[in-house]
Amino acid sequence: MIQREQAEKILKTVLAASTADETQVILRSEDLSQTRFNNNWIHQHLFRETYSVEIKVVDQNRVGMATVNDLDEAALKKGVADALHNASFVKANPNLVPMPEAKPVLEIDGINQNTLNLSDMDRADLVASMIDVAKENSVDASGSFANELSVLAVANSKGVMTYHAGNNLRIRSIMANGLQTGYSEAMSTDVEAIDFVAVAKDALWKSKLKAEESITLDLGSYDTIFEPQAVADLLRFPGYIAFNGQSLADGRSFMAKAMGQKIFDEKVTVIDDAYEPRHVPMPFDAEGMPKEKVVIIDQGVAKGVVYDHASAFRAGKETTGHATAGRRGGASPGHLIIAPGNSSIEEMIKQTKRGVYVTRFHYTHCPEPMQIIATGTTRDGTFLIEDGEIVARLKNLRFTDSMLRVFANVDSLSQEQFLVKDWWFTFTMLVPAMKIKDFTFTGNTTF
Amino acid sequence: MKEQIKEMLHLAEKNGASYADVRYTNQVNRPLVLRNGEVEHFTVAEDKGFGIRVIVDGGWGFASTPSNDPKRHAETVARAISIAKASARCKIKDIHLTPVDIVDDKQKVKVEKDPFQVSVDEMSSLLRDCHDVMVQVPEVKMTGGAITMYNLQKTFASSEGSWIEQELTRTGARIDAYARGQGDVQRRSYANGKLAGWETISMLNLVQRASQLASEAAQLLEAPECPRGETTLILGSSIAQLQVHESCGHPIELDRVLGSEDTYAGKSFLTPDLYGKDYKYGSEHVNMTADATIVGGSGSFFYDDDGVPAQRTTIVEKGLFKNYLTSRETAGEFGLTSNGSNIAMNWANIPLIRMTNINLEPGDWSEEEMIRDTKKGILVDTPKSWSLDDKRVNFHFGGEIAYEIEDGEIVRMVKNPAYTAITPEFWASCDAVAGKKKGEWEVWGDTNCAKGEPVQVVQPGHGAAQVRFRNVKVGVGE
Repeated sequence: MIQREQAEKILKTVLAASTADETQVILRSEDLSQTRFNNNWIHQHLFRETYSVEIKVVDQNRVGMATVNDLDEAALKKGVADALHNASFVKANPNLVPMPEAKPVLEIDGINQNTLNLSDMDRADLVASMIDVAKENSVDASGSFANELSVLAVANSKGVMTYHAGNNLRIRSIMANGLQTGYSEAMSTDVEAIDFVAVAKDALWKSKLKAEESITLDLGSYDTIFEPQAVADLLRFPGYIAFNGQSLADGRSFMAKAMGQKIFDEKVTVIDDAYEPRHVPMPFDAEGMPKEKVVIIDQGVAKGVVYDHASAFRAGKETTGHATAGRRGGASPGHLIIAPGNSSIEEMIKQTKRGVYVTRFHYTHCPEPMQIIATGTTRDGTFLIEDGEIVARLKNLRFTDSMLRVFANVDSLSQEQFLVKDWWFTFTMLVPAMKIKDFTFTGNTTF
Repeated sequence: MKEQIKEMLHLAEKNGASYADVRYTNQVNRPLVLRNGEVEHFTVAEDKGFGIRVIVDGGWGFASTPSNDPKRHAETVARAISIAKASARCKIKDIHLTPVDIVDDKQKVKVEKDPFQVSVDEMSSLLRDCHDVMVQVPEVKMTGGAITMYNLQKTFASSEGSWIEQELTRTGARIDAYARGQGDVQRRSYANGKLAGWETISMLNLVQRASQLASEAAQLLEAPECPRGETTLILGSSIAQLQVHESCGHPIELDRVLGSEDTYAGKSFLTPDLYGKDYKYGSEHVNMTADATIVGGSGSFFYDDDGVPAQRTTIVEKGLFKNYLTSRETAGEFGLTSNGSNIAMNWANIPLIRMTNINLEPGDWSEEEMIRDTKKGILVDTPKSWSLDDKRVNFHFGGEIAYEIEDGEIVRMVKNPAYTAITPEFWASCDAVAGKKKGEWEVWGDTNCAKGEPVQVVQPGHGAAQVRFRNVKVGVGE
């Protein structure tokens, strides 16, 4: 891990080497240990150490950038020279937004020692405990266990100098009972907070339940209960399409004409809060600006979007601390949260006359971004509910529905929230389970 | 560097590795991105480092570092050994690699004009010209443009004695026109790329395409919705190539067939019991190949990351399934040797089975003949969305643009087209593939393909031409 002192030395080396009017440098590093298992054995297992130093200079309104992954002083200076060289070829842009001035940033201790001290064999032992559950129940275990330690440090020539290190881990489990599968996952900053055997057993019951046969559902609209990871896939679409200031300004967001209006069910409140301790906390963004808590949907009413410095400046607002690094940059939510309700998955099932239970989705996509019409298929445990009980296993289903309609049709939310990622790994979200009225299934698959 | 790599292999063997390979890659990317005619992003990004893969006690281990420090290299080897031993804690059999010829070789993609020598002025001028042409259409409110290029220098060395150096250069571009009006936004786009130099860009005719895209985006605002129902579907080559990617390319990756991608990318309907049985994947018009030797193909190379030479493999012959994409680890499941498809995104990641250039081979129809022969149908082009289940059976694709065909003629443009089907039924309904005329069949290189945990993104190629299917469900929500 790159320590604060080393990070600041790297950042200062870059700033000192630049002759530009303005300079920004983003240092990112990641130590990732990942264990993947399949059919009760570990088949992929890696450790990777990656760095990147993104240098951005603005000289006479010309922007130049360079990225290096070599931390030697000579390589950093060459990166600065490359960025300056690149800027000299770019047409001046008189409308450039100046880089932000420094603001106070909270210190958050993001390192969990239990997680930090996990060895390669410790990971294998935890995976083995899940495989043991599979073997004891005559099923096959597959899954993935990621342990990530990341550093983000940002500085600019206007006084920004920030550093944060944090770690987290995520376990995903599929149990295969012949062709019938079940899934579960857990994520935390603390390995001691995850019960790996419980995760395995949560996947197991979904692989065993009504496993003798899966039936084909008649297509149409059904009251549908979604586990939290499925909720994450539903929220992902408005999350990346509509909840940022640039798409609002471009008119590509349904929020553009909906601010202050009730667009979702009043039970739905969506916020972005990087300080929520059950999330993976992060005090600042890729411009070194402090994270602000943003209320996006308040009891169904469209309230706000997230901004980086430039999109906020153009909108006459203050940045909310949601700038992203990387090739395209821009603003994005990073810590989405759906406020809890007062129900539970068990209660939702009991209250369902006839409906569908969805464990997770696969490969969702959005054919119509303005109306957020999305599609995708269910997997790893889709069930039919009748008269308050799960009565059958269903062959997987394709849904096609507008997320505007879906979130306007919320019946209930669970009191308990879960830290999950969507299928694409776009966002980490803290969300409850959710029951939707009249969710539209448009296709069947064969398994 | 040669001594460092040899020392890493030596350390691995000394510490118990029955097999080891080291990959050093140095990749330089130079993307230029314009938004509304202004440079939004221009950078030079260099990414280099070492990755070592070992087998110890029959288990896999991999570790990687960007450091050039020999001490860090030794620590990385030790970490790979530690990981392999932990893998062996949960194994059901020892890893076995199929044989490969030992190679000492050095290869380089030929480029006519080095794209890294092209000035930013020339690159941005071309994209600004595209922007200027597009905004002449009043409805076009936003434009995008990008030119991308990379130079990848890769060294592979194995404990078996292979030493392979290869240098790959890729150049590509993308342009987008967004028309806005009447509460609607419509996009038209074009993207392509090749394993070649700057000559790629001049072949793409970007300015000419920009004018057409802008006009089409504006027309889409006024166009009626694509009708719903079961009809004849014709796919233009730009969406046909993605259809091949998603519904053939992914299902033939043998690692996912065997379950190794279950948690993320999923499995495959082309299960091992179907191998060697001439399973009916599609109609007799459907011939597919995997060909890493195509000159300029985005998915071409000289050797994969097992050190296996690039090759051409028949995947589907007259509709019958023949072969998977394989690696040295997986080919043995069928008593085969690898067909050279094991590729890592970079030094930091393990190789996975990836698509090379997966092609729907040209048919004996021309595009004009196909439309003239269609009584009623929809012609869809340019992918807008795509979604498949975890075995690649049920799929749903959306296109940017479509046209209704009646009595052998295109009669009107329609918007928001989508279609859905079951993969083997879909390909079984294929009754015509174009490619008879020069230029109808081409190898596309615009697909970013994600796979693995951590996710690795590569850019395979796909040869395709216009292709026709009967009795397909068309329309959003169907």
